[in-house]
Amino acid sequence: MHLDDEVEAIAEGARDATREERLHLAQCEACARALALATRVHATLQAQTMPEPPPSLVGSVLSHARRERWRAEQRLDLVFNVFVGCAVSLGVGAVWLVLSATGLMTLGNDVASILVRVMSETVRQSLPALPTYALAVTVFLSGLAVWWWAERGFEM
Amino acid sequence: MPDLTDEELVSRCKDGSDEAFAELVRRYRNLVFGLIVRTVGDRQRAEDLSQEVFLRVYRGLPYFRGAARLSTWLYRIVINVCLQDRSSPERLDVTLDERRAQQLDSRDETAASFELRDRLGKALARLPAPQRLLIAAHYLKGVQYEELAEAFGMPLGTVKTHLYRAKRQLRVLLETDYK
Repeated sequence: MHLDDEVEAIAEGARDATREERLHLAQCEACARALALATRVHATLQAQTMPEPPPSLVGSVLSHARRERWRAEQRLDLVFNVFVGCAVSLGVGAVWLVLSATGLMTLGNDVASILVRVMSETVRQSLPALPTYALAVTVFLSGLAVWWWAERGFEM
Repeated sequence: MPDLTDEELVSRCKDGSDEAFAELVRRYRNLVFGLIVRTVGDRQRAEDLSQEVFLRVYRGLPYFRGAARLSTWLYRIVINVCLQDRSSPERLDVTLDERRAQQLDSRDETAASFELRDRLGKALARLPAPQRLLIAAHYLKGVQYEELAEAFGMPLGTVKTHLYRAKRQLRVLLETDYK
């Protein structure tokens, strides 16, 4: 009989060797050697230094977590916008169906042509100021682009 | 924040407090990093995996109902992350605390401690990941056996049996391959 299964527990002091085991250890060279090695292994592992995590760990976890939250919010926004788009399309479709079914479409066409005429008149009047409007739109879009870039954590 | 209990901390994290989450990471970083680095061997890899553990915690916090202790839940995540990791170390560093190493050497002067540490590092790396994890947890200060058993989903006695089996395997490797 050998003490193979009991050596580790005895080596780390989880339990004491019984009288029979002590007698066996005194006579069996293999078991005594196994116990000596197990004791050295235990002592060496116990004397290990506590590994220190890098100081950057907390900051790096937080920045990843924030980015993940921002992406989740973006996804939610996208779903919401798609939902609103679908609802608006459905609403427009329903109005168009009602107008077609009730014959109010002709009236609708007249209203639409009046609207188109008014809009083209407005565009014609504001044509001289078009470069100013274009500049304003460019500045606005640049601002949006910078904001978007900054929110993504300055990644290109 | 450091005075808060784990439950209070979790509750604040659920309310969206970044400061509370930072405290949670600070509170458990030593244990998480220690367990992982002693299982995978490589510090850089351990840093990535520790980050992965805390991100999983962050994602899972809204669903954490507190049925288990926070530390138990964390151990479970560490176990999953370590077992899913495909990298296998060539050797593990067995670095000794200077003061304790002196005590060790004076206790057993005949032990060629440098050689033993080297052989031990190689033998540890040859153990399967679950066994490395168990040995790492056993020798890391602050790890509670009961929580570890709960995280592994095993009775306490079974965890101890697995641990002794792993240590026996380690001893057999030292006795044979690295003589």
